[in-house]
Parts: sequence; C-alpha cells; structure tokens
Amino acid sequence: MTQKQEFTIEDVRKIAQLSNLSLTEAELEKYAVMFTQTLDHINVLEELNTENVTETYQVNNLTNIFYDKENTTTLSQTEALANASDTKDGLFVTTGVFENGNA
Amino acid sequence: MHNKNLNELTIVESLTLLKEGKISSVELTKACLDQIDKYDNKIKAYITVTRDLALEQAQTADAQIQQLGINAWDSQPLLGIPYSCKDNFSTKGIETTASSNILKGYIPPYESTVTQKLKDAGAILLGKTNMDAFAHGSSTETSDFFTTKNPWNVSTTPGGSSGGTAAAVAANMCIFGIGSETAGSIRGPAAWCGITGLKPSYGRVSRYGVIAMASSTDSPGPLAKTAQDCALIANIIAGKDNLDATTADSPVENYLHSTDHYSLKTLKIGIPKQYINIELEDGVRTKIEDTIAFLKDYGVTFKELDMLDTKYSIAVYTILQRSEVSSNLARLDGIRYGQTRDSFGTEARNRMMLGAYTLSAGYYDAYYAKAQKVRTLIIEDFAKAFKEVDLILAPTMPNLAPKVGISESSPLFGELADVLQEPSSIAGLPAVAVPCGTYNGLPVSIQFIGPRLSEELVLAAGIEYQKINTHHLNFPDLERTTNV
Repeated sequence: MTQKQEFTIEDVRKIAQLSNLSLTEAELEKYAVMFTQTLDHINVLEELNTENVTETYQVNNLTNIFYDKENTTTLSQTEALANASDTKDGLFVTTGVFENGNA
Repeated sequence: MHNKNLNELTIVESLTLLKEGKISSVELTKACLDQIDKYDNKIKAYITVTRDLALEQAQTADAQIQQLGINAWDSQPLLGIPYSCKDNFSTKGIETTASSNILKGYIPPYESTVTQKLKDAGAILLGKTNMDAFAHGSSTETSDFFTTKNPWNVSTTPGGSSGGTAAAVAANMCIFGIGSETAGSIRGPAAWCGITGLKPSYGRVSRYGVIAMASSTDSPGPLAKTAQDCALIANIIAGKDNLDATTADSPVENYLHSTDHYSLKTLKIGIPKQYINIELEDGVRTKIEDTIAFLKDYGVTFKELDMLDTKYSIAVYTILQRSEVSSNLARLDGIRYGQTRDSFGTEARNRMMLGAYTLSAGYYDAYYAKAQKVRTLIIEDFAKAFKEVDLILAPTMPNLAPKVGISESSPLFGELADVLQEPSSIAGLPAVAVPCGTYNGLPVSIQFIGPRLSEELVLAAGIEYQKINTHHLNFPDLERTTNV
C-alpha cells in the first residue's frame, strides 16, 4: 500500500463483476483512471499511526437495540408486489442465478 | 412581513398570519405553486410537483383552522405550511426516485418517518426535489434527470446533494424544505443558495424510509429561510424512532427556546486553523474575516484551535461512503422494485465498485478498517477541542458557487468541496450553516459546529446570529437572475 497503486482494466473488470455491473471496454478504461486518482487521495491515511486505536463503526455507541413491541404493521402482499417487474401467483419472479456463469 | 409575497414568508411569519386569520393555507400553498409555475422551468428544483394533493391538504388544513381556531395548532404545529422534500425520502403513493433512472417509476408503499412526522404536524407537501442521484455529489449534476440551477445565478450550481431543496427555498418556491446530509449535503447547498441549514447529529433524526447513501453518517434535516424555522422543524422531526435502531434515546429539547439557555456573548468559540489556512476563495475569506470581526465586536470570545488536517477526513469519508454505498445499492436488483442494474449512472457505478474494492478480502484492513480507526481519531480530536471551547466556527464552503459543469473536472469534486463538513459528519456532530453576506452576487456562509446532540446550542448560535444581522433576509431577484 505504500507505493502508488495503479488500477488495471482487469482489476476494474473483477470489481465490476463483484458489483454485479456490466461495463464496456471504454468504461473499464475510464474507471481504471478514476480509481487510481481516488486511491491517491485515500492513501494519505498511511501517515497516521493507528496501531492501538479501535475502530468506530457507529458514532452513537448503541448496541443490541431491540424493538419494544411485539406486533408491527407490515406491507400487505399486494403492496409488497406493487413495484415488481414480474409476478406470478402472488410471488416475485426472479432471474435465474445458475445460468449466468457467475454462480 | 406586509410587503412580502406569501411564498416569501418564513414558517414563523406564515403561522402568525394564519393564526390571525389574515391568510389561508390555500392562499399560501397557491402562492408557492404559482412561484413554481413561474420560475421552476429555469431553476429546475422540482422533479415532481404534487399540486392537486397539496391543494387538497391545504383545504383540509383551512377547514380544521375554521373549526378549531387557534387550537388547531396545538396538535399540529405546522398546520397549513407548504414544504418541498428531497426525492430520497419515501413518500407513500408518490414517486420517489432519488434522482436515479433505476428508481424511475418507483412508488413507495410506505412513508419515511420524517415525512410522516411532518404530515402528522400538518405540513403540506408541494413536491419532491432534485438531487445528485442517490445523493452522490455536491452539485445535482449527477442527477440522472437534469441539473438544478442556483437561483442567485443560473449559470452556477446550487450545490448538493440537497440542491433541489436548497434552490426551492432560495427561490421562494416553498416555505421550507427537507434534505439529508451524509457529509455536506445540507450545509453545502444551504451555503451556496444563501439559506439556513441544520445538519443534525447522526441519530437525532430518523433515517427510516430515506433511501440510504452511507448509513453510518446519513442525517436528515431542514433547509429553511431562518435558523428559527430550522429549530421549529427540528422540534417536529427529531427524536427516537423504533423504526431506526440508530436513533438516539436522549430527550429532544424545545429548540425554539434555545436562546433562553445560550448566548453568543458567553460562549467560547473555536476557530480551527486547519479550516481557515486552506485555499479559501477570496470572497469567502473576506466575508469570513468580516464575520469574525463582527462577532468579536459583539462580544464573542474566540480561540484558535489546532486540529487534525482535513485531508484525513476526505480520505476517511471517501472510503466509508463508497464502502457503504456498495453495500446499500447491492439491494437494487430490479426484481422487487426499480429498473435493472444497467440503469445505474456513472457516479453510482464509480462508488459501488470502489466500495466493493475497499471492502474486499485483502484490502478490508488496509482501507475500511483503517478508515474506521482514523474516524476514532477524528472523534477524539473534536472531544479535545470541545474541552477548550463550546462551539466551532468555520466557513461552510471554501468557495463560492462554481459554474455548472464543475463536477466533471474531478472524480472527487464533492469530497474536496465538502472538506469543511466532512470531519464533523464523520464524527456525527450537529452544525448550523447561516448566510454571512454575498460576494459578487453569490452567498457566503459560516457554520457553527457543536458536540454530539448539541442541536440546542448550535441552533441558539444560529438564531442569535440572525438577530444581530440581516444577511439571511437577502434573497435573489429571480426576475433578473433567470432572465439571462
């Protein structure tokens, strides 16, 4: 992490796949440049010693918050399905995950 | 207030006239809708205008006022007041897009807590305002639909991401507005549009139903014509919410009475040299120096502070924001709602992919975990500062509203523009941004930043500041600015 990092087109292709996004070759090149520029800015954190510092994931230090009522209102089936692109028998129709080669 | 058009009124002024029976909610609402008709084709603040619904709600409000008289406001403190709302707040039955193509056509089946509370308080929704898509930006230029223009000069940006709301307030196309800030998205556009914005502490206002950007810093809040109006809105929207487990349980003060408890003259205010000794545009520096001199004359005690370099906050924010975005936007699959992932714009793709990288095995410790450790250092840095002073004063933005098109110049435009807001956002602190003058016809703003959950203190500072000067009374002359 100490030397300047360059994103390659292959790096971008890999994270595009992780992000479930399809990019054109031109976009892959564009993002490789953008990511390299962004990393230049974020690598300044190396200047700070954080050896004995704990992470703060959440600023108000709340833990284990539970809802205090038993019954809550939820969406009806009709409401839940209202924005779906495709439904069948009152259920969402999903796309297959085994055919696209990424499974 | 007699020489003002109705749409130019503040909330407090509107309530006075409504209570005196001198105006009706329908008249007030129509005045705002007329202003939208007249100028929004140039400003482009609104994505959706809920005209019929607004007029219907205004009629209902007038009927309640007719029936209950002054008592109508006991349970509905904002009865009859029309407002604009950023399009990332879910509004049941009203299209909510977060200015993104992927959510185009999405009709939420539920209401966000903030808009529900406003509805319960009697406020009237005029429409949903433009923003950077998913709030990813500081100019509204990453909106997948169109760019909002700054009412002070339509060749400049209103800022963002709550730029549509800020422009709507500055152009008097509503009485007040609602936005959200992750790091700068309320204060930045409030500054560039010459209005007042409150960025509440993280967890003070519920995020339920707000389309998530970075869940560990997202903070909904008001953009309004005065700090007093911001206090009135905060009274309604702040508080614990069972639907958002990160909301703070501590009691909500009556922010309208904040000046009873604090006075600028007895507060010690810190000015971090790291917030001043940066590249401030000439006009901004002049106005900030004038403001500090003005406040010194008024009797405020200042102390210079030595804090962490803001460049670390830019880095921390960039990592946390992209990591959380990659997680939050992963849920959009086009199956349950919205369009397919091909519809994501350039900026959303940029952020999701970089976030996937900083969270991925082998890089998590180097980026995400490291950023969370530096966040601890930033929080400690503020804690140290607040042992020495009560409040921090700083410029809100380092520059005046730049020309439209600015965001194309750098993949980190927003992060660099919001440099003076990122440290306090990462630490979850509240701040009020107030206008402190104009330079070359564009507004300049200062911000008061306080310790966590010190909304009462920062609002008191903002309210008192506006009692001793008139900068917040300046509004753009739209007849002139939109005819260029």
